[in-house]
Amino acid sequence: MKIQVLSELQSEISRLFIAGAKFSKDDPRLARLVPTLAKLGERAPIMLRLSQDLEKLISAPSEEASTQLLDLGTLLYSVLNTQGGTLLQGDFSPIDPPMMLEDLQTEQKYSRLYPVMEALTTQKSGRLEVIRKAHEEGIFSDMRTHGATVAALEERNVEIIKELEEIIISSIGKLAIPHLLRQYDPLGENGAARMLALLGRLGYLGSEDLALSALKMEKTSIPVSVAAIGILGYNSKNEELLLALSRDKKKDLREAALTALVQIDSERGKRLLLDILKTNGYKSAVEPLADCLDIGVKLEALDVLKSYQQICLTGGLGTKEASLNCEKLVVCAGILRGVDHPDIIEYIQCAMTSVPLRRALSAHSNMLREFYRSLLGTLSGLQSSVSDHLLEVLADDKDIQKADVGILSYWFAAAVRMHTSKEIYRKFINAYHNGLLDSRDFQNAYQELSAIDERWIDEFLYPKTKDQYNDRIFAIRMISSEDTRHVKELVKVLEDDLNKAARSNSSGRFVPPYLKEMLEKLFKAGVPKAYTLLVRALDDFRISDNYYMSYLFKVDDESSLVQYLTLADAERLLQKYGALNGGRHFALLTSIINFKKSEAAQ
Amino acid sequence: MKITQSLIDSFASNPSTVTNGRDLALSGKYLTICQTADGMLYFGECAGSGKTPYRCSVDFSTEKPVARCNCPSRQIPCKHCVGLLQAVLIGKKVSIADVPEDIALKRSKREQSSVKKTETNNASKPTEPTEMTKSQRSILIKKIEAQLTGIEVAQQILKNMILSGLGTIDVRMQRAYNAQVKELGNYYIPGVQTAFANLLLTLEGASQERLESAVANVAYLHALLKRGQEYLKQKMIDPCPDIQTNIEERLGRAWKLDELRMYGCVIKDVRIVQLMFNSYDDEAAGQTVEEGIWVCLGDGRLFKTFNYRPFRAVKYIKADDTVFDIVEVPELFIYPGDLNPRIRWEQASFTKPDKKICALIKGFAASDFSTVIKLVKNQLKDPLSDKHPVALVNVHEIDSVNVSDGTHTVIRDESGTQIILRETNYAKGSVRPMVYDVLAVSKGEALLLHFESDVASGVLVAMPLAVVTNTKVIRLLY
Repeated sequence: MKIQVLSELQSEISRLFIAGAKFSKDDPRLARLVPTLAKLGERAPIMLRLSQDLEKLISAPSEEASTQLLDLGTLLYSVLNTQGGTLLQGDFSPIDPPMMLEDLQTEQKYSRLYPVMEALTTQKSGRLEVIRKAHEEGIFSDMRTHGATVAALEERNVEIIKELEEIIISSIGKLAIPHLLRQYDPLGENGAARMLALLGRLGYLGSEDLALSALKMEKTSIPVSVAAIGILGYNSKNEELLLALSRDKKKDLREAALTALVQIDSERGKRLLLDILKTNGYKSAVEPLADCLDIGVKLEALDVLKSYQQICLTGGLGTKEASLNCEKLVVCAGILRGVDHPDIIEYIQCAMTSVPLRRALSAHSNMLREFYRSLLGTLSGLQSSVSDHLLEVLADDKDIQKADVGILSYWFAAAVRMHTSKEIYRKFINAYHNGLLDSRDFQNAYQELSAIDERWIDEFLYPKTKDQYNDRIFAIRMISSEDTRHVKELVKVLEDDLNKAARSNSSGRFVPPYLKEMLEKLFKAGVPKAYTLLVRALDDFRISDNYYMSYLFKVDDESSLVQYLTLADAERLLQKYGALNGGRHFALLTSIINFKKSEAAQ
Repeated sequence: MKITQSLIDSFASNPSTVTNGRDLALSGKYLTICQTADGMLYFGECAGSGKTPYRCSVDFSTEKPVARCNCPSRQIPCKHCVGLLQAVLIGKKVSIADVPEDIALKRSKREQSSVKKTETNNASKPTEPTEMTKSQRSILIKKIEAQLTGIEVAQQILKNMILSGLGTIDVRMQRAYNAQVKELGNYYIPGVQTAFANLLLTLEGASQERLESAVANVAYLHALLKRGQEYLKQKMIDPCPDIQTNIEERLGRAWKLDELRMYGCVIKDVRIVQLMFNSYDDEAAGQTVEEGIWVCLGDGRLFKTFNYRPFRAVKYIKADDTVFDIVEVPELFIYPGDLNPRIRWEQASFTKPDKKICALIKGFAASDFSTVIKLVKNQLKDPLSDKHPVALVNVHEIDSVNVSDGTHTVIRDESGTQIILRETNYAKGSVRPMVYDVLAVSKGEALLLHFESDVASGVLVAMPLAVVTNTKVIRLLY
């Protein structure tokens, strides 16, 4: 677009600026431009001026050369700035709008948007928190974040990727599709694979074509190929291709294809999986078969499993064949997952109670435990009355208990669904006393317990186990404010703790970890003694004694235990903590005093 | 005073103060929060790390809210004052109280001093240019002489650079030049000093690309020195500053609002709307620049705002931000200069825009691209002008075009005149992969364009900054 001679002059001038004006004298490359410029100058005075300035530069002595060069350079740049063309010649084609005008929202301020864009485009620390907060505040509704969000799928931080993939881009929805399409590179690695998978998940109609073209390319990376195969699993028409891919040399591709075949409910795929299960490449078939909910297939897989078990038992202890089949049995045990069928439950029962099998698997480290855990996981996941009943039966088996697979925890989770609270107490009290169950098991099942036997509260309040603090905290949580008997027990426990602390030396006094929770419960239950106990705790212990003391000053939901203090006690304690220069504690007490004073004034 | 998030955002000096203040409010650090019955004063106590809480207040009884706090922070307003307002906003308990004695005392002192200041202003600051006194003139002449000396020194530095060649400047020479440029600080020509610093910064690394862009900087510097010298010589005879061009600002003059008022660079009762905001670091000048592009709702002129925050004081200077409201300015100060002059104001009120405003703004967009291109080129040919003028244009057609060096996007007006759309250095670091696809929806809408002359390839290109439709403004940057 530029006039040729100006372009040449610019390049010569730039060369001189870089090399030095001292080389301009009688420079032939400059001199050859003068006639052309002079000729152009006949019609355009500015060209004439350029040619004159150029002549001056060529003839200038070296001490004046820099001034001449600067003059010429400045003039030339002014001229060039007016020469900028705006016309492009070529094939014009209209652009298809990727989205509707009304979908475009840009309503976030720079101050809110910039930190998010920075978190999405840099590697600084604390990015995940910024991204999560931005999502909570709705900043990702601003379309300016979409491109950067998609670009951040190339990120290395697994947590950030998970957040972006599963939450943020899903919430952006279809508006993310144009960005995914723009940034998706079929020859890319993990980032590209995530983009392709998201295109499929967001329902982009062309995702299957993209997947097919990615698979046709020679240099497609394994992650992109896996994502592409995953997309093919949305359409049963791709069965042939998936069957072909299931024989691929690469293990990852084979597994992805098998999973996709299960997804499209392909009969041939299922047959293939069963065939693979019988070969040495059985591991590829385990996860796809576990996901398969076809009862017929599961039962056939079960037969294969039984055949492995048979070889384990008959192959002879310590032989290579038996060892291999034991491993196959343990790995393949996971395929039973997800289907509630009497044959499967019966097999689990037989397998777990079979003494020869136990002996065979015990010969290999951890195999027995892995096998039991796999079967118990399957059983526990079914949550049916039959499976729950079997768990009960298995829990009584001393040998399974010895296998250290936490059978009682599985059984306890099932028991709360099928027994009354009294029965549960009767069945599990001994296990609790023996340390086979702890309060964590109760906490896991607590949601499902409609009514807990109150004898547990007594057990947890005066625990005989090593985990007594957690048990006591759990007991405090279970006690309702109306349960006067246990509330009285709480008072007694706290008084005992305070007496015990009073008897000990001032240094290293024991502050119970549940102090705050216990006092809160007492205040909630309206126990008159609660205030005395609070003041006593605050008097007996110092903040510096133990960090559990500072919990009394912790502000949750606008409240703190010290808010119950009277003005006089607050002032007295302020003196105590004031001497400590106690930061938040001091501030909180001051706040309470001010509040009480203003209340008194009103 | 009704406390809103936008009020807090505009009150706080930077976004991190808002975040820190919000954290204080949420973590219950405020021991007391009070307001006066008229709602014009909020005060309270905020727990700090020491045993005595900080006493902070925000007073809305004056034109600009006044923040007071006894914390040691140099930042005003500090996080305690901002957090106080945040605490009110999130609904913490606020009690009604009388104005505390110390604040009442400070208020009365402030009133006294503002009365005094107004009197002094009225008495000493003329609204029209007046004849200089002998001593004022003598001071000015001395300053101009120093400036001329500085320009001569700068010219000598530049000549030496060019004589030996930019490509020969190694690290040692760069250090020597930097020292010389530092000396220029003694001659009241900070604009020249910054231009030199920019040139030396461009030369760092000394790649061919950088050297070529340094040539453009040299051309600017030479023009500045030459024109500056001529202007200052003229100013020795007639001390009245040039308010038609930007030469004063280019040399480094920081215009005072009173001066702009005195020279008539002011328009009254204007309503403006921001169309774009951006923030970037100017390494050569050692400052963060916050730039806004505004449209005047009266005549459609496009203005720019610049907020400069030197790196060393960045925490203590209030940051600008995106503004969505209509800004009603009783007195708008316009700096001398280009197609899109810089503006400032002292007081403003904010109103929520209605949808009609967008249609009004769109109505200002130029439909004839050739006129726009002519105006832009006219500005670009001046070596000292702003090299990135902005314009609002109506898009008749938008197409992609395949040429030998790739695919470009072009917009056309009704007569078929084209403007090439392309990303410029202005958006460096921003992730805007979809902009040109998004622009397809701008057919029939107005585009805010940021022009740049690409001397190397001989084209004038424009980067889209915003799409203005009849109902909304879609910001493509910030």
